[in-house]
Order: sequence, then structure tokens, then C-alpha cells
Amino acid sequence: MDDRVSSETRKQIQALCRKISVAHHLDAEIQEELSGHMEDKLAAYLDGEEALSEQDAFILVREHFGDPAALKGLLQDVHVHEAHVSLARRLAVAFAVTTGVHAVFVVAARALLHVWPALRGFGGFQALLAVIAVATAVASWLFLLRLQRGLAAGRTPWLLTRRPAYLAGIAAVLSLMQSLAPISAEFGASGPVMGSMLVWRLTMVAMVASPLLQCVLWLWWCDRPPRRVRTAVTVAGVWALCIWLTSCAGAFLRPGVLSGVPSPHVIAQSLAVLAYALACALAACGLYAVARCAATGLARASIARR
Amino acid sequence: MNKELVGASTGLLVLGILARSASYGYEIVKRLNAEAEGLFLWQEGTLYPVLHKLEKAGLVRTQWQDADTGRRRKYYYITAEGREALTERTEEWNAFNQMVLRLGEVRNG
Repeated sequence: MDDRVSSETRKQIQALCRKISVAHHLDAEIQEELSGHMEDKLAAYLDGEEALSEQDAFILVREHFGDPAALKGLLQDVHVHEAHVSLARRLAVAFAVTTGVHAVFVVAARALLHVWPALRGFGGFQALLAVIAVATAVASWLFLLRLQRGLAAGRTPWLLTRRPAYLAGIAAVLSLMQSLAPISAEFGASGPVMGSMLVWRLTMVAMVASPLLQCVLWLWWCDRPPRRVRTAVTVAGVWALCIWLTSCAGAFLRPGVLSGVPSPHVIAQSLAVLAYALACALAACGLYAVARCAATGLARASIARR
Repeated sequence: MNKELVGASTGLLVLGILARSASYGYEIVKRLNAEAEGLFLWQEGTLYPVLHKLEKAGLVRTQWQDADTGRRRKYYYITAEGREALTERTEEWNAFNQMVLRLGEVRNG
């Protein structure tokens, strides 16, 4: 070991390098390489002409090295595709997870309706429909994020070992179970009743395309979390539109196609769900941005204190 | 100097340094800074994603070696493919440079 660097400072260097983890089996090697670099730099400062204290030298090293969060992102970009799991398989998993989570929430909503019949009114209907859609999206996203992190760390979760056809089969069965007894029927509202073949086709396209688009969105977010507020807000907007499409497409399409003009009741319901979903998406996006800014601010404050 | 210009040529610069002799992260930065003569300043940590990318592309290979300080150091060696890539990219840069100079002359002339 280099005698010029004390064990205390060496620990600080290693703690700093641990922040640059890329959740990967190469972490230990990468961290050893980075900490070696920092120790070399520190020793160089200590040997310089200017009289620097060890602590001052460490601050200089950290300043020159750059933001660990940014470096983490760059390293993750390089090491993210180690697992070689096909996009089709990941999409199938995302779709199965989304459908499964949605089924759980639908069952929970039915149980809630038995306990609390007042929810069957108009206001209760739109609120519960939006809550189910948003809760499904958030829970699925968290589940998939966990799955992706496990994958990036070198573990292969059980779901990813199944064949896409097998997963698609599970998703199809779950979807069928839900479509046989639509949640909207519970509230006596105008749900996706199959009035004509055209309505049926359009509804099915909307119902399948929307969750798939959400799955693509989630996989992209898990792989490359957006670094700009504008991107995050755009994604949140698309996400909200997907939720709206999933929740309201059927109800909105039916009167639109059959009579030419949707009733004010349906428009109000639809807009309420869209506004609720958009608010939730933007709130989640805002929390994400605040958390990110807070983390950066804390890191800067920590550097300034030293 | 323009950050995007430096960023686009980082791999080429690193390959150029390693073509002279094998080296490890800290030394590569020192040698690059010496060559740059104050033209640009490195965020040193960003060297590693570049090095790892070059390694994944097979343009450099690595080997851990014991240093006289008692620690291990990861040395980077340029491969035959790396040398070919260096030649190709340098030629591309020269062609591009010629074009920029020609256009600059037209504009100024």
C-alpha cells in the first residue's frame, strides 16, 4: 500500500467510489480501478510544490473527478446490455406483469364496492377507474424497475426465463378474465359494450396498443432514465394518454361511432380521468425531478462543507 | 475548446496515447493533459466509460499489474484492431479537417 495515503482517506476514497456502482458483477473491479486513480492523484498533490493538507488534496481529487451520478449514468450506459435478454421477452414480461397487476387491482376494487356501495355513483366511478389505472401503472413500473435492476446486477429473474409465448398466454388469459366481466359494468356506466364490429375492433386495438406502449415506455425509462426535465414531462404526458386510452377508449368510442356525438356525461368522465391521470403523472415526474435535484444539491453541499 | 468536439474525439485521443505505450487511467489523463497544453480540461472520471467502451469494442485489452506502491493497477494495451481503428479514424479526421479548412478559406477569402 502507498504509505503517503492514510487509511482514513483511503476509506473516504472507497466510499466515494462505491457511489459510482453500476449494479453489475464488475462493480468491485471498476471501483478498485477508480479508487486507484484517486489515490494516485492524491499522492501527486501531496508530492507537489504547494503545501496542501491531505483533506485539501482529497477535495481537489473529488472536484477534478466529476459528478459521481453523471459518471454512474455513463458507466451504466456502457454496461447495461450484459444480460442479452431479447426485447420480445422483456416486452412479454412487462405485458404479463401489467395485466397481472391490473387484475389484482380490479379484484380489490370489486371487494371495495361490496364494502362501500356508495362508490357506485358517478363521482365514485370516475375516481375508482382512474385510481385503478394509475395504481396499475405505478405498481407495474416499480415491479419492472426492480426486475431490470436485478438483470443489470447479473441475476436472471424467474419471469425472464419463461418463453414469450408462455407469458403472452398468461397475459391473454388474464385479459380475457377481465373482459368477461368489465369493471365498468359494476358501476352501471357505459363501458366498452360491443355495439358493432367496428367499435369492437377499435376498442380492442386501443386496449392492446395502450398497455403495449406503456410497456415500451417503462422498459425505455428503466434502461435510460431521462436526464432532462422536458423529456421526463413528455414521457409523463404520453403515459397519462395511455392511461386515458386504456380507461376510457371503450366508453368514448361507442357513442362516438354509433350516434356521431358522445354524450356530455361520457366526455366529462373521459376528461376527468385524463386530468386525474395527467396530474398523477406530472406529480410523479415532479417528485422524481425534486428528488434528483435534492440529491445533486446534497452532494454539492457536502463538497462545499469540506 | 468546444466540449462536443473534444467529446467526439476522446476515443481517438486515448487510442493515440495507448499506441505509444500501455498505460493506466491516471497516467493516461496526465499524458493527455500534457499533450493538450491547456487546450481543454478533463473531468477525469469520464475517461473510464471511454476506456471500458474501447475494451468492449476490442480496441484495447487490459491487464492488472502490481504497482510499486503495493496496489494493483489496471493497464490498458492497444490491440491490432485498435491500431487499425486509430489509423482509420485519424484519416477520417484529416479528411474532415481538410474540408473545414477549405470551407474556412472560402468564407474568409
